Amino acid sequence: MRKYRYIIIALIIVVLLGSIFILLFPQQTPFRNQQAPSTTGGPGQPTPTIGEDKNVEKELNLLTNRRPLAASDTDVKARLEKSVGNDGETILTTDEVIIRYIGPADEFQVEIDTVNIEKAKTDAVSWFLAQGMSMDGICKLPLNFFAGSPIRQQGINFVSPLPAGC
Amino acid sequence: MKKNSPITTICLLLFLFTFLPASAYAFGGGPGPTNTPQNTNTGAGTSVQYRSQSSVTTNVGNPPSSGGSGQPATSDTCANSPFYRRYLFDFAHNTVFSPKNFGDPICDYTMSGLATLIHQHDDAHFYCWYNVVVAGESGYDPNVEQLNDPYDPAHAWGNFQMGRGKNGADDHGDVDWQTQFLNALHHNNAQGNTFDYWSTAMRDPVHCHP
Repeated sequence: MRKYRYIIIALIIVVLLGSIFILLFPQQTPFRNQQAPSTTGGPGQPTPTIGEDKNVEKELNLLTNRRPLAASDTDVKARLEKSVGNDGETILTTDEVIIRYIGPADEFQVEIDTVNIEKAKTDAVSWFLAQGMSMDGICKLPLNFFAGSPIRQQGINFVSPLPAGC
Repeated sequence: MKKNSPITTICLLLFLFTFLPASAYAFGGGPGPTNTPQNTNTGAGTSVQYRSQSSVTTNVGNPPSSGGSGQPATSDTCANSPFYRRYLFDFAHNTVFSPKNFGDPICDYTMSGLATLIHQHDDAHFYCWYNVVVAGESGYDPNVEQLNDPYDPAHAWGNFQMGRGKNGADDHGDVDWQTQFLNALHHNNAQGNTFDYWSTAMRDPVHCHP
């Protein structure tokens, strides 16, 4: 009989401990893997509030009010426009960028495909300088950047569209 | 034994009603969310992917009657397209429907083609569409699917990251790239050309919210 009493006491203790456990941690356990949805593509990241970006506005001001290029830059631009590949728009593809000339938009666009964004932008600008385009011409085009798929997959959906210094 | 049986029974019942449900929760058997994330290997690391909660049974091959090429989705990976690598990733992550090439079904998409289409139909807002909305929403990828769309459980699709009909017949991004733009255009027209549908348009309210 004494043996059964011990069992009953042990059960009561277990019941009490279980009740205390439930009271202290109410329904937290089942949701431990739940992550908030995100528009950035990165799981668990907070949803960003997209606000005004003066660089985007500046880019569109440059695009809608094109300023004339210097004669030498006009020549370089014409040469680059003719250098597009079979798809009619790709000029250069590297591991970090794809440089395209989009004829109907008359825009040189650089797709950034690396998380080392500033280096990619600097390298793209250097490539244009190496082709003979002046920095003034690069800003007047304007050369513009956007986030490509490889970095979007890593949650980076936006890069500042203008080169540094423009 | 007989004397203690009722007490033992009561204790056992108490135990079952209190402790066992907690055990069920702890091992994932409790009433949790139905959309539990799945780990998927993306090739570029491990990411968390949510099952679609879409209850809409839109046929991707039948885009809404807003014009466009109306091409049905295909399984073509567009091996000769500069977007080939993007598409392979997109298709690998599209868990919602098949065939998966809804955005560029006949592999004729180019950024130049998109720019031309926008010029033809809404030249007044060209730069907002081309340089703000598409650049910000999709990075010019007509086959991209946003898995974690906080606004639409049917996810966001294509260049303009629209849904699968939640906000009307024009709210379809799960169609070919020409129809994607025409849907976006018609939806925006119906809303007074405010571009309010696209949060990325807020980056330039001067040009996108005139």
